Amino acid sequence: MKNLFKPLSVLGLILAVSLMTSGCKNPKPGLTDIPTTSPRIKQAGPTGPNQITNNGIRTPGSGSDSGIAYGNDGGPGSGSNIGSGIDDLTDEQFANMSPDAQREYFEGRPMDREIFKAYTVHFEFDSSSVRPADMVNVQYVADYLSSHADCALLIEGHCDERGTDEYNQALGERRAQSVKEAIVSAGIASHRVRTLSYGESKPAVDGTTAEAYAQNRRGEFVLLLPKTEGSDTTNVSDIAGDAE
Amino acid sequence: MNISRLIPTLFAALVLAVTPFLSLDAQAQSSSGAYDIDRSISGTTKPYPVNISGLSGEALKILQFDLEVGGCDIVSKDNADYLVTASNKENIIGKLTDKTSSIRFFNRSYKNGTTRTQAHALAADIIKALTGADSIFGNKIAYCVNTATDKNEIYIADFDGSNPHKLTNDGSMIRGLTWGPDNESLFFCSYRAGNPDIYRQDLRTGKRTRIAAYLGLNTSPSVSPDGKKIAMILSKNGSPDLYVANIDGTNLKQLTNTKGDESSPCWSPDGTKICFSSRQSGASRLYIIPAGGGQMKQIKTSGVGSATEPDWSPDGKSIAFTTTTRRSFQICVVPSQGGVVEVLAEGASPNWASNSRTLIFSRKSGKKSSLVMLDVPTKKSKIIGSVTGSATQPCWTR
Repeated sequence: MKNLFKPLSVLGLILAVSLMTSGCKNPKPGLTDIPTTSPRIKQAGPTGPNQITNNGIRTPGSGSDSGIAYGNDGGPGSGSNIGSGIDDLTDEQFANMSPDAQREYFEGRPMDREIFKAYTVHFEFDSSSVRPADMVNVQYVADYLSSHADCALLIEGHCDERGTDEYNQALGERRAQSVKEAIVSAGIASHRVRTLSYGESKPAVDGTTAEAYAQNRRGEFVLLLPKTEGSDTTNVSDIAGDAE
Repeated sequence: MNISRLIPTLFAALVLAVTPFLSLDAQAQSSSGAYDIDRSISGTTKPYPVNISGLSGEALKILQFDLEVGGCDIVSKDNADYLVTASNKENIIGKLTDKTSSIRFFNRSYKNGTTRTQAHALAADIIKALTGADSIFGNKIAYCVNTATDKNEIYIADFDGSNPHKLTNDGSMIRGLTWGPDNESLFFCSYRAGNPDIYRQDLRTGKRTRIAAYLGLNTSPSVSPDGKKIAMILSKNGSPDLYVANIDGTNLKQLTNTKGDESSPCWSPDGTKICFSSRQSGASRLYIIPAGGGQMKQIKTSGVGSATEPDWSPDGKSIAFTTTTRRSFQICVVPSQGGVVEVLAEGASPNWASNSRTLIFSRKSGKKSSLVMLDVPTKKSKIIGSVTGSATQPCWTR
């Protein structure tokens, strides 16, 4: 099995390098700037702007099943200053916040799914280690975050379909955590990075070939922009039991 | 006929021969005496060859299905060891005899209820007489039906898939579905709030309560046998680890702290231990840890590469799990102290019925997933054909 993936990782390296040299001339901090006042950025990336909101993550105005969303309720003690875009939190302060307040830090932030699209990292079969060849992608994202202190990061972990559901859920999370560890090692505060596992439920491509599986075992970066005024007003603890 | 089958048969016959002609309420539990038989999971037990005569229509269909699930082969009279002579003119009347010895196990009429419940009651008595196993035909199953690769909804149905009832309408993804205490609630992980969080849904009130919603993964809830604790997988401190909390999610305690990820905890029937899958060693293996905390210990699963989704049998003797091969998933069982694995059938997500004999699991064929029941000693399996759509994560009421 291992031998099968050697050529793939070499291919990945070549791909990564060629992306770095062609798609993005200079992966240094601050050069790929986006207007941070805009709630959502559509960039016609190499794969097209096709995944901005439709991923199960709630973005402002996208929800119809109200009553179960999380976000900044703006109330007293809810950390409403967090949404202002100024992040002077330390990891220690964040760790001492309530679980709901920690969620609030991320929820309601507009998402940019396109900006890091070319920097998706991939994994070997059944592995959660970030490949050396992908570290350049991790560095690019970390550099971007260090020059945009008001932004946060979502890392989504994905698996191919050759694991059982709950196992893949854990594996996808472990992958996302590995990428987070790499981002933190590159100097980004841990509390700015959120992980989310989708297991095998959101394949990048259809198919049962080794190539398809290799593309589906991945960690995607999603930029979380500063919250805008009134971006989400739903109370975090308001869970409606409106099932049938 | 082998000796091991003859002994319980004769014993059962002795017990039942002294029982006069009985008239049972269809809802009432069988009153047959308790007799244990060798239920070791060897897979070498042959299905019981049974012939049914005198029944027709729905009653026949239900009886056939139930007996096949229970470990019988429905055969011609010539090939049968056991004869079911029955009628369903008004109420169902059924008699079970051993063909060679002509010993009568029972002769009963069933009243009240419907044809359905009467047929299930007759099937339960036959299975009890032949195998010693308690009835599972009154149990319910919960499962998910996929509406997209990343969307599914919860259903509850009778054990054979009939009378399905749609429970959720979330348009989101459910994982780790399991029954709560007294079968009055369901616990599961839902992505509905944009993060995999654990909820409890009360089946009487429909009310949904959040149990765990930390940053990161909150999944694989498993309720302790006494209904007071919940084991689950959280990644709030990094890599997905095993936690135990009170049933409402309070009093959280972290049991594992590994670099690899843990998944799918289940409880030993006495509630003292938890079995789960971990990638601590690099590959997925089964481990057991004291429910109050302590050292995690790997259990041997000799003969297979990976082991995930363990489920501990209610009698405590064995653990069912899924192994992943290059192209498929296989349902396996191993003694609960570890040992040599027996590979049973293709499928994933196994769950033991209360009789510690029947497993339910899902089996994928192309894009569609079906629910399958398997009688472990005889390895007889039966697809639940009445479930429509692509169904996964089946679990029995206890």
